[in-house]
Amino acid sequence: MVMTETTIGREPVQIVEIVQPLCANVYGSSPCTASGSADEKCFNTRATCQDTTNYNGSATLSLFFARGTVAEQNVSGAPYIIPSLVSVSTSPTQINLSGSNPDAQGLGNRSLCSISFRDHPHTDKKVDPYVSGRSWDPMERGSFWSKWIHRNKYWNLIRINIYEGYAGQALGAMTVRTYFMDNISGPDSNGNVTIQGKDILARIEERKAQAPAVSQGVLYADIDESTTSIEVANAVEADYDASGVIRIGDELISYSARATSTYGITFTASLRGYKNTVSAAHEFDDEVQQCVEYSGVSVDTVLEDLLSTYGGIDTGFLNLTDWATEAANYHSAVRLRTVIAEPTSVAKLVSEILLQVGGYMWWGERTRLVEYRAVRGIGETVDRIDDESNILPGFSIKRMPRQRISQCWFYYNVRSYVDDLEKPSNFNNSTIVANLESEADDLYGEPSIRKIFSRWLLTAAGANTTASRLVARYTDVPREATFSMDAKDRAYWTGDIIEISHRLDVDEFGNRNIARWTITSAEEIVPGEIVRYVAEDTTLYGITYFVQGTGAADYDLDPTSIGPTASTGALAYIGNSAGLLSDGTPSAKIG
Amino acid sequence: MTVIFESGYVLPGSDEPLTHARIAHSGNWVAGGTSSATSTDADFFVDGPETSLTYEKWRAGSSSATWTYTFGGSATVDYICIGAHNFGTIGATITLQALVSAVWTTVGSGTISSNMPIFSIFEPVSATGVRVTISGGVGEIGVLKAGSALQMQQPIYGGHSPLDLSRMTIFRSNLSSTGEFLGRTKLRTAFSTSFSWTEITADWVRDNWRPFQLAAEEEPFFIAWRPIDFSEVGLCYVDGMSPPSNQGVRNFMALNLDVMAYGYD
Repeated sequence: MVMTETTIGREPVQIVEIVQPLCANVYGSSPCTASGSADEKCFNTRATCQDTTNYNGSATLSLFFARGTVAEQNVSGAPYIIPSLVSVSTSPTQINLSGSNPDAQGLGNRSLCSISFRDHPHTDKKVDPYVSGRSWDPMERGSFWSKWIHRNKYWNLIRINIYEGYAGQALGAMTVRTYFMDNISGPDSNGNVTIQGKDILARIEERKAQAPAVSQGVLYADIDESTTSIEVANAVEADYDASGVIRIGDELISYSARATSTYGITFTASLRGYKNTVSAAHEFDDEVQQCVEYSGVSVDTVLEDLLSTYGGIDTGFLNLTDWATEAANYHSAVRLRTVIAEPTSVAKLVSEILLQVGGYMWWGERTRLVEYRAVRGIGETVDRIDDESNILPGFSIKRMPRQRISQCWFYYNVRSYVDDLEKPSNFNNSTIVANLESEADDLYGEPSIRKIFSRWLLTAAGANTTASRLVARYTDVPREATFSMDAKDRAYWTGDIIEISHRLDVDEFGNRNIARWTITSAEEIVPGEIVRYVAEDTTLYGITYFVQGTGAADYDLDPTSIGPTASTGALAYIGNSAGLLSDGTPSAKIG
Repeated sequence: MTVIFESGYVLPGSDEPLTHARIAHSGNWVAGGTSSATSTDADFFVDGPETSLTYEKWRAGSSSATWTYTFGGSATVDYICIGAHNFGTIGATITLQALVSAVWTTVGSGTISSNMPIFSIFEPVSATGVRVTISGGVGEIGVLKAGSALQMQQPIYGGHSPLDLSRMTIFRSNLSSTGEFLGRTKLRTAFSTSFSWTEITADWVRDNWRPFQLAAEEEPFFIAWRPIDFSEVGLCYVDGMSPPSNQGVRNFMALNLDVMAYGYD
């Protein structure tokens, strides 16, 4: 019998897969030049390789682990399951909608997993390709994890897939979440081993990814303020882009070419004192730093470049098609322009963009892709969940006053990219959007100011859009709901938008307040049984409508049931000054 | 049917009655042999059944196959036990044979309707190997052992909970905020029970129980608690062994065994 989340008496199955890279070569066979007795052979892992020049890590080995319940004994697609899994705990992705939470990282919180195993003797089947030739009995030597750790001490490329399904389901039919191995501890004296994993966005943490990379080149000789042939020592051509921008001291220099020369490479400067910097003399041994320049590039393209080129994330993990659609639909007027003049955390740069253009990014644990969405009105069909059919006891709503915004001071159009980028006087322009009424004594009684310094935007249009959106969205104190649902509703996940009807969320008349919420975090706290959600009230993001001309067919006020397409929004007419249509029904509001 | 008797089986005169438990353990089964099969699925292991690791299995490469274990010498055997198999799932018909004087002699057969471990009992033979032929589906075997069983000196009297009825299944239900039934989950894990014997003579305990104690410290064991009457067979393991105790009556001792058993259903 194949069970699902709606089967009464369903039996959850949880399987952990560790996918480790493996050498595709055979020990001692060309191209592998290693030679040794049967007992000295490697284990086809990089850490045990005896011919690293010819190591070919293109193969993989999948090891499956489960707790060993009856339902987990035979799973199609996982023929060899080691029943040493003890527990899986996760800390889910937490989306930071439009970077509005001052207490969270701009990219939100990374999803983490912590997986505990029980150590045990092992036959080395599967994990030792040469086990049959060894003279010893692996069951008598060491334990599974004590050996595995030494054979796989480089875990950067090791992926962890957590499958969750039900009895009778094939592995491929289960939901799967992917993490990347970050650490392993143990085995301790009790035989406990713990592996930690993070989502792929952890690769752009401050200490791991910088844009641009630090440059090692230094001036070979003094130059004056007009020199255009600049020789740099301690460098080769590959250290710098073929053309672009370099920084020496506080001067940006645009160059059209670089070529190998007597003492390193020589740049052909096309413009000294580039981007409002001052052309100046520089001395021998001054550092020559490569810069990153974006000149009118779309949001999705910059994000892709930062994550893949500088963050080292394989583009296969980026949902680029959706990013492009989102950018084309909602950021079509936004073109990013900047010069990044010194090594800067990629996470910081990405966070800046998300806040300044109005977007959010998260690791789709189930899609196994980095997702992106613009902060925008919602046109999609939205499901409604309620306290009768969906929500378990424990529903709560909290308010987040620190996220309220009554004024947004948006500084844009940088004067100098080498000066302090968080100093108001370093920006040519600013725009202030305020809701002063909300600061009145009988309302919130005090201002709540958000300052944004944008190195990315040059024009008022983008600045005004973002500032207005933030103030409109966060004039009132945002709300966050925490609730759990039975696994029958586990299809809802991070990034999804839902309506919630609950007896604890009512208006001043006691009527249920049907708001639209964006799920910012989801976690199966009891695998296959209970899912816990955190959602933010995004009703004020609005609903996308297409305004219709006179004579168009009547429309339904329910925006989810009409609209040219499910993804673009509903239809609307312009009402009168009282907000009513000719038949007296309410018109849509432009918020 | 998970206790299988040889067709025409006659209890040897020196054996304990079949109301007494039979135990197959690492001290009385044959080890050190070699295994072979007519076919093996590429993701499985032909030598998987040799060990007590239930997750390292042999799976046939076709719906009719034979798995053979060659002892490497001759040994007296009166049981074949099979655990962590899927014969019930596939409704397999199996034939168990022992290699006696170079002739494969059938010592048991039947159609299996459950994945409960199998305890095949037959008259002792001097054999150099055993094999199982499976038809009716693609068979899997996690553990297969053959040897000469420990026969308990006394039957088990009251108090025993048959293994197949001693499920450690966990149930949990979810209700909505308003009390509507939303879903129910169960987790099938293992079986748990205990076996007790009384009026076991001191000499028997020293001669037979101590070797079993040592074996059980190392590996799981098979037990059929009352093979003539009941079909329950367990592939059991212990986390500790209760020491035998003197009953204070003549030289009788009492034995107790708290076990967990491999879950199959």
